[in-house]
Amino acid sequence: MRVLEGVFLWVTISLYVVSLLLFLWRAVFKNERQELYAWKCWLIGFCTHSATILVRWIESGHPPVLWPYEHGLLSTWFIALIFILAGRWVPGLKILGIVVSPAVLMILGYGIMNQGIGIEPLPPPYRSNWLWVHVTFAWLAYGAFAFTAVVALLYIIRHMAPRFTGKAVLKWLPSPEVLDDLIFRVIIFGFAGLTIEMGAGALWAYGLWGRYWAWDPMETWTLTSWVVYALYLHLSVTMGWRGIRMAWLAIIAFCFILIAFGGIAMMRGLHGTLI
Amino acid sequence: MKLFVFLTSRVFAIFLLAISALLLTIWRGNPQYFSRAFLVVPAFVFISISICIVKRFLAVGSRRNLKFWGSVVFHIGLLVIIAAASLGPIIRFWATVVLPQGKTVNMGDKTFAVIRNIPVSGAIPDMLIKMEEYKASYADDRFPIDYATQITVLLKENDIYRQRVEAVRINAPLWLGGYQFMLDSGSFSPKYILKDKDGHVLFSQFLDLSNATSEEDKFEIPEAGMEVYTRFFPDMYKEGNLYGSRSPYPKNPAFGLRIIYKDNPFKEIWKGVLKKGEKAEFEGLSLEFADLQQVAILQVLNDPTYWGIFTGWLLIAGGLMVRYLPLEKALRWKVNEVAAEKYMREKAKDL
Repeated sequence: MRVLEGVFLWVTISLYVVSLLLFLWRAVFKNERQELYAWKCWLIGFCTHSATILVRWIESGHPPVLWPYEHGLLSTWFIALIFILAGRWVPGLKILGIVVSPAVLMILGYGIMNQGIGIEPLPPPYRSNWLWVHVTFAWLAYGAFAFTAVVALLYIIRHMAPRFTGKAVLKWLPSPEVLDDLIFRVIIFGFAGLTIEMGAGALWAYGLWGRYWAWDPMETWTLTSWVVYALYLHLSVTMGWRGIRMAWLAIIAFCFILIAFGGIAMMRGLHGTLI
Repeated sequence: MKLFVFLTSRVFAIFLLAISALLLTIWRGNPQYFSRAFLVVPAFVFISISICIVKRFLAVGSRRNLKFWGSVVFHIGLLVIIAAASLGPIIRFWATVVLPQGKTVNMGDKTFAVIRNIPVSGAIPDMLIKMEEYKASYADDRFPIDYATQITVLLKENDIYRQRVEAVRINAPLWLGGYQFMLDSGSFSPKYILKDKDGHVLFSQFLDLSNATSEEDKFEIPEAGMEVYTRFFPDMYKEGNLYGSRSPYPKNPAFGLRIIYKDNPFKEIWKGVLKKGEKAEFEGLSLEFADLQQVAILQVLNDPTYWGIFTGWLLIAGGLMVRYLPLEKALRWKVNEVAAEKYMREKAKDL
């Protein structure tokens, strides 16, 4: 890891940590000014995060798609981006930073502590234009689904807490209708991303190995996730399902993504060798 | 009639999605439970989608807006992919060919060509392939950056042989007469000769070993009841008692060997390093590392369903965009009081 990249990376991590502390401060002491500071910290952190990726891209000559460190950089960038877009457009959502920042910090930390932090050239199979389409849309999809899982979790807490505590919690969040609609719309983006990712991966694999599909663990679990998200959209669009059961389904569907990427990809398989 | 209504209903479509997810999950964890009977699910998906599209056309009548067309195009894309994937085994030719350097391989030669799929209407193509040269390039003598092989292909079409000499790279296949020649991987094949004390050859063979420098591989010599564990050093060096490889290029090829009898695996008969041309002598036998040959593995494919999968994918992606991206409907939020107040304050600050 070169000096400039290291500087940007640690500034990014520091800013995300400060942002998390300020979000916590806001939640504990109900000081809204802190939320604004936290948000600004997050925005600056996102800029330095982008700079880290850019510097590494220039140094290595390829997009950051090798090993957990580069995947961590790129995946958290998409999660941060979706959080910024949602926070900018939906009033009251910035406080989600209290959940999003630790998630981003954990993924970044996992990447830094893992192998492959040094710069390596792309192996021959990766030298294809399909790489861009496949990886970019994969991370767009995973980022979107991670974000929806977080929102769905908050929705469920907000919905169920009064039963146990006798009073409403997370009142500073937008109304359940807003959260419900947000989950639905972000899942649409994620679903489109996942579809494009799978198609691009299949066509790329065809040019590499002469087959579209190898039933590699990650491929199968990604297809399963796609089917589950298709089920979510069908239930939502054609059956009109909304509310708490769809929030649960969003979380269950994200579990399939976690299995696809976090669990199985680490084992042997076409994807497991480089992720 | 009731059965037809049920099979073409949205509830049944949702059931099919749920059952697909369930079957995929079960099958991933327990591949032994896979059965061809499960293929009935994609068949029902195909029928369900087809009839749903027709029913929607009839039901919607003249109220066909952009979203309607987006949804239709998306589902037609799915049909195209299912149809193409189903046709694949019927019309695809696919073979994996192992090409030792300098040897001409006939597609019908089962020693070197593994036929994975033959089209129902066709036979094995009359084709000869020869690998002229294989080259792997590494950055810093460590990281692979390019694999390339020079091949000569002789393909018979309409009683005429067409010949092509071309370099094939990973991600850059050769197209000839509808066939695609893809470089899968490359390796080295060592030749070992085992002789008894009278000089009779007991074993002489080029071997298919992984040749990964970081791990051991093994082969058996059944004629002598032996197992030989090997480790490849393409560019061998020795420092004290330690052996290693300076680079991945075969400048000074050597193998680290451990030889044992299968019925007494805890006793090593011989252990050491053999350079090309050297022999290990033990118990009246000699094992020679006689030769090292470059090998390329090629996938040979003729598969018109590629265009079906590609078209289906474009339709699916395009249909999704048209169906969902025109976000003309605003978020249906009911802003709570705190959020509304804060939002207005932020807006006021911006102004």
